[in-house]
Amino acid sequence: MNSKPIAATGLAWAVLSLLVCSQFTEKAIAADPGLKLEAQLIWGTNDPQSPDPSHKPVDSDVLKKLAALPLKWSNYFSVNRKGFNVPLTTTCKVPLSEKCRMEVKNLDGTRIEIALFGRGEQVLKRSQALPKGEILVLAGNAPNDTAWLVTLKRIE
Amino acid sequence: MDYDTQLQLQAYLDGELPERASRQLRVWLEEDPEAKALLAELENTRTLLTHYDEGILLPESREFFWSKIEREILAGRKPASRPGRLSVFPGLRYLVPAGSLAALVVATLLAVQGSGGSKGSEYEATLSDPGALTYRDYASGTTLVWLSYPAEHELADDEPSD
Repeated sequence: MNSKPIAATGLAWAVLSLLVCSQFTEKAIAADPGLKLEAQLIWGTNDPQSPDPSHKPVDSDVLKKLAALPLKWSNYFSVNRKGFNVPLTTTCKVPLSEKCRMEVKNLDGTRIEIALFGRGEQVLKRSQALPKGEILVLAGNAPNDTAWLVTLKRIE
Repeated sequence: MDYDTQLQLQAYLDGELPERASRQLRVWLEEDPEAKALLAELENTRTLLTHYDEGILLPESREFFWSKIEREILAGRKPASRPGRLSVFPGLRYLVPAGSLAALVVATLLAVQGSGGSKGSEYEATLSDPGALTYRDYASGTTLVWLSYPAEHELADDEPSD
């Protein structure tokens, strides 16, 4: 009768496998430093300068990426900028202005779920991978033929 | 370009505009590259959706197809017993658990390593307006989601007044 030895061996292997799996998973979770992100509220215009002196031109790396997009504006000014860290499977709320905020969830260390709110109302929910160096831009029209943009960049 | 104009372009593409309005729109399209680009984008999207909706043709009749599935289900209900088969090759009894272990380890490794560059399905749900346009620039690693909402004043209140 070989069924009992096979069953016992199978059980032993299964237990061993689970132990190995849990070790890997625990290490993966323990080693997770979270996602270091940066969000920016940006105003896009063709005017060479912003009337608001507190607005600074966006960094060259962001400008380069915005310039690669099919947008008609040549100048982009940073209205607000927030750096934050999102641990694995947690959600971070990021207020960008009185009426605009975003919520970013770290889904699995690579993918994020982003929800954009305007006047407290959710206007967009989206999930995607955001590797280091890549950028997500949410944008729309603003008065006087200008644009608002919310950028999300992964720092680490 | 405002929302109504975009809708007019969509109506033109769908052949819903009267002849006179279509003529005017064609003239405008010649002068406005942005509108021309949007029309091309709408045409591309429609083409893609048309292909996506194409039905799958089965090489057999519908009844035969479903009868195959029914046979598979019925066959799956029968208990499969093959006593003593493994006893012919005693070493085989170790292959089953060893194979299971190998599969589990590989799956775990893939799951752990996959967190460095997994590409799952991307989804999008625009709640207030279905007219969000997503543009992806692979060269610069940039994804743009253009929203027709919040329109004009919603998120842009921090925009300086001239």
